[in-house]
Amino acid sequence: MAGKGQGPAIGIDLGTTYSCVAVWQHNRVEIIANDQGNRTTPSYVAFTDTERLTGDAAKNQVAVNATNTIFDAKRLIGRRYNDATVQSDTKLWPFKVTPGQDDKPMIGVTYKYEEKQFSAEEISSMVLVKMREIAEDYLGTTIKNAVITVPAYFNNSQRQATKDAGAIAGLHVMRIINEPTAAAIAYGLDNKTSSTGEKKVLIFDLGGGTFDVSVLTMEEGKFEVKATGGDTHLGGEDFDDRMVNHFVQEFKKKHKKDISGNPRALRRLRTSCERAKRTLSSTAQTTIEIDALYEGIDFFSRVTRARFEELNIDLFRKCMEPVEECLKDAKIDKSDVNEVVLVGGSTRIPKVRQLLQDFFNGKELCKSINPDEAVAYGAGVQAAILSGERIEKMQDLVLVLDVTPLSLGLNDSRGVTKVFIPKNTTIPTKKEQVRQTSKDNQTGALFRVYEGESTLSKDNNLLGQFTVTGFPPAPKGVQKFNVCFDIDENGILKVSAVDKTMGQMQKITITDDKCRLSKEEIEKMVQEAAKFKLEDEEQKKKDEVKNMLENYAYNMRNVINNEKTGAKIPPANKRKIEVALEQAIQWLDENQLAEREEFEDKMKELEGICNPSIAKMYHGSGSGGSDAGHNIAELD
Amino acid sequence: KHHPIPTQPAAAAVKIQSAYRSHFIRTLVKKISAVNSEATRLERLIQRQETVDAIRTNDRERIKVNEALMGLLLRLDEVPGVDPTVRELRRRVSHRVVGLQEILDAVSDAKVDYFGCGFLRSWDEVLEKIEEDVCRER
Repeated sequence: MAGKGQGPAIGIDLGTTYSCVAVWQHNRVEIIANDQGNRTTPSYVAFTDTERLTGDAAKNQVAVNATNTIFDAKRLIGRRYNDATVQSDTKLWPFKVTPGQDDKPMIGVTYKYEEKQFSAEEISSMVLVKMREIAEDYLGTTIKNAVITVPAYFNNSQRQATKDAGAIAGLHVMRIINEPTAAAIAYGLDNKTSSTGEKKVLIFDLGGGTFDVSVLTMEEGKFEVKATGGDTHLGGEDFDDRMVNHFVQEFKKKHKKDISGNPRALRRLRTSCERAKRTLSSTAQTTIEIDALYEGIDFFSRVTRARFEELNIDLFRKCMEPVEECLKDAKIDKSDVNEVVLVGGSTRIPKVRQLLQDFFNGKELCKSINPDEAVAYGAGVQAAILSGERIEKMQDLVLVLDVTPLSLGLNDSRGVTKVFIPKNTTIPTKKEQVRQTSKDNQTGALFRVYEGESTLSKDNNLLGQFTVTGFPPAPKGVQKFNVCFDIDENGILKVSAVDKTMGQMQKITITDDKCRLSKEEIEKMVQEAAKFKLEDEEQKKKDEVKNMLENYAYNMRNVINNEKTGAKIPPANKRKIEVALEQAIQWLDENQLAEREEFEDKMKELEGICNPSIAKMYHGSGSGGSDAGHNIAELD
Repeated sequence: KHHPIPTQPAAAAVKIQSAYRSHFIRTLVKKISAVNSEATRLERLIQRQETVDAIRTNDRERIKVNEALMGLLLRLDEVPGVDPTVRELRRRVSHRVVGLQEILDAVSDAKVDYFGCGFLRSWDEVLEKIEEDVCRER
């Protein structure tokens, strides 16, 4: 199987704001915590004058370096710069997005004093590398294979771009699966026996900034996305906003002062509100205490769960609308829904759960898996199955089959999309049709590939196009082509046309999708990613050496200044050491950005001056060995 | 007041509770005092002429110091004021950090008006406070 001999396969939930990684181990899924101990990692990449940061480190410095800290790459991936969503999102970001080649959105940053351009795939690949490293650190092996999740509504180019990001990250992407599908797998819903045969599942995913509802049906391991809906800009942060506004009003009432123009006060208030929101998911009331919030006034207030719910009730109700619409689109009655699955941190809010439960007439919700981790959990299960892991608890679960989310077809001479592969077709799939010329004496044929459910091509999404030329003129209908649509198991489409009448195999495959990266580009990016990795490692080593030097200098100064130990050193030597230490410390202050070798040289120089005296001192008192210098470095 | 002689389980409960409470408060106080010593470090930094120059000429430097101070305040805001003494301690350190924020603003705003009385006054106040703190610690 694919995974043998290449370490275990991992499942990655590549989220808009947070990502999560899971692995199958000891007969269960384990969510892997990062070096900060967090089980989710911010999908952030930051570029500074000296280094590149990913994950928590990147997010922590966002306020200091806003224009070079990239997040939300998922909102850009596989899209064109001129897409309406890209245009409106760009206005909200502190970083620069410009149109690149073929209208591909490019992110501009300053890295090591140089202007650089990155595609969304590259940024996502850096996040994926981070997730892989988290897993590798934990498992102690290298990892090659991964399953990555994408939203159900992602189209072909967004899926392909995500796969490209995986390739740039040096991963073999075994499968791209839908997030709701992954969540359903996490609960083992595909495995539970059901009397009706086909099972209907609703996935309710309310995260930090996005809201997705999906309706799936499944039968014998085959998942179909029946409908999707939601709001791309609704989530936990909106609930925080409401609470912040509430307290701004309260402050006005209590103290007759308006803090809404003070960014510092608002930031402290927002941070406290977010904490209060989390607390209110488990308690009935909590307090907000902020000292010296504004003009020296200490702010103290209480908020109850009921109040929080009242402040947000319209938003919570708004979350129920897409549920209704989705069921309508899928032509499924709510009483026929077998399972309702909760995903995303904001589904911890009791009121949201209650509204959803009431909507489904008191049905029990699937909430036993941490909603932040459910998608990665399912991806981890899927990765294990794909790599041939024996999963005893899930024996029946063979392979999850995915389906095409949208119909795929060719544009004809009347501007109508002729469907080759209808939506919800199980993938992988291959469909062939014979097409003919529409005009007399035509010597070239244009093939335009569309996805979507509209009859008219102009209302559908153009995926790509290519032309076949060089056949002799003939009356219309004589020249025939065998057109083949081929979708692989990752939902990635290849279209080819074979010139039939000429008898020669003129086969063309779509590779020049405007938004896609070419093979060469991916290779170039892979190399660049390797270069970045080397630079990161070099930076890490440099920091280590710098810290060692700093520690040594400060510890040595403590030894010298200590009355007991300092007295044992001859005054002349002591003076010499003192001067050397002061010089070293000053040099460090001024040369924070020096090269690694310089730090190492400085370290040797300092050791050469200090160690003989110190060694003598310890020998004199009979309490130290010959490596006294090292003992001293560990005193801290 | 005379307490009834506690029975053994009750005595055990009291013991556990008092041990827990003192542990809880100690952790909170530790948190606050960590912030306080960090504030002292930043205060020294702001006092240095090089820092003042850097803050004035380089916006990045100003944001960096501002962010460090903000981080301290956010850490303090996390501490629940369960105990009046803890709350008082937190309040004092919070006000101190906000004072440093104001100095930072004065330093970066007062490019010409360096010796304006607003700046000097707050500076004196800060010095006074530092002395007060030192005295209290002793």
